[in-house]
Amino acid sequence: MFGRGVVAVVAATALLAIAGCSATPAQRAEGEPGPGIIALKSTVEVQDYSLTIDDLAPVAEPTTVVLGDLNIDMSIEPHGLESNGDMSLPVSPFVAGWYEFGSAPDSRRGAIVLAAHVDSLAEGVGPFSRLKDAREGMTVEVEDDEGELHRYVVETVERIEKDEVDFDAVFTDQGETHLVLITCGGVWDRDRSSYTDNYIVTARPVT
Amino acid sequence: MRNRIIAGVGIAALATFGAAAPASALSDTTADLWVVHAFPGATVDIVLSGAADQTLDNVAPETVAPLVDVPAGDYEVEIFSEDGATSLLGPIEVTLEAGTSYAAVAHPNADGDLTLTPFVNDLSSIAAGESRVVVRHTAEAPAVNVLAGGAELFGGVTNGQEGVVDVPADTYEVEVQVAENDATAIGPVDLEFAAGTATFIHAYGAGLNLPYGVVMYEISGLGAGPDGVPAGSAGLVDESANTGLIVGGVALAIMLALGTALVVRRTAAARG
Repeated sequence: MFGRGVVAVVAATALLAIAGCSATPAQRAEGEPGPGIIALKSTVEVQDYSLTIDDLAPVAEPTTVVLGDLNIDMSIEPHGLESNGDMSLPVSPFVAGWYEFGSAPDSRRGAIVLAAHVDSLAEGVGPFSRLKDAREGMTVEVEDDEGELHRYVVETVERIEKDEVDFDAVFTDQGETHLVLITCGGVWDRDRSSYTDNYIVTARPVT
Repeated sequence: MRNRIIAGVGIAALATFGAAAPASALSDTTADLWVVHAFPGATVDIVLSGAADQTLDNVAPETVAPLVDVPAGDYEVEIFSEDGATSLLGPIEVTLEAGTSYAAVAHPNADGDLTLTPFVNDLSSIAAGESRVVVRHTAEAPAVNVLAGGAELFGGVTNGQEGVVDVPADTYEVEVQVAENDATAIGPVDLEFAAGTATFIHAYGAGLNLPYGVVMYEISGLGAGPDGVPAGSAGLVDESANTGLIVGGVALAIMLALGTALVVRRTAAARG
């Protein structure tokens, strides 16, 4: 991992160099102000933002998600987008979908998004229906296809009207890697065959 | 209440989760300049003077240093030896326009001599599920072809040129071949191109000692998320009982009753 942190690159040391008295090599001083004139010059500490081949190595995909306190233990399938731009989901509410265009547990940043139907006519009510009872501090475990276990702790639980959800923020590829669990809830809108709200649980990695 | 925070501080606070990569800090008066050292062998000092003065001290090969949010305007760029005593290249005049992200790449030209090539980083928005791949020919080599997953991504790219393409986000086996004889110049290597991210790949090498390496950086946060998550299909966990929807229910019943009355009246009228 590299520390792609704050952009302190520019805010480096600003030196008040009096031309003629500075240690600047002669070749460099030519274009500078004459003697006695104070020039503001900053020397930038070089922070390396280069990536290696390993940084772009394929990441392991999540395979199971367990939230023991809520008796959730589900397998995970990778899913992308529907033609209408919505996230595609497993048909069964007993299987969670991982947004494959987002982050994975091994990613260097961004949201790992797992979503599942809250219910279906064929199979009834699924485990993610219990996400509304998630609370801060509960542990979520995600296993990937290399057998590695990633542990997260619930930070926020929200119920947001679907039209109000900032999906670009929920699916962000920025910031510290974090886990987001999503399902539906609220009021069933029979005309639209849809619930009014999304439940969104956000969990921070346990280090 | 439209948004209920049931526990914790809410998604808004997540924006502060960790620190974001320096995707860009562009404004109406500033530009970004990613300084890339892709000239093998020599640690150098890189000096910018003009709209603002900045010195990058002791820049090692294969280093990428973003100068984010620098004043727009005219600059001279000069490359000095590590001890600052000898000018190796320049000064070269460059103009940085406000609101634009640039790269200045120090690299060998096709003859192996140090040169500095400016590029504009294409930070236009990327469609959901896609990734931007930018390949810059910055090594001492003739024209190359760039292959991804066996298909040609770019053909006949010469020193100092770049190819830009948006591809479905995925893992690709990437290989660079010398165009004239298909000799492998770089790779093949599996690279994951993430959605919403632009990956800038610079060919790195001199002396024709193939295979060469790469110097890369990426700028993320250029894509959009899905439009929604339709995660319910049966209405089995309807929570309307808790939310004042009883009023709605009553209203519906009244409307139904009125509708019925209306139909009855119409029927009566038709009969009459």
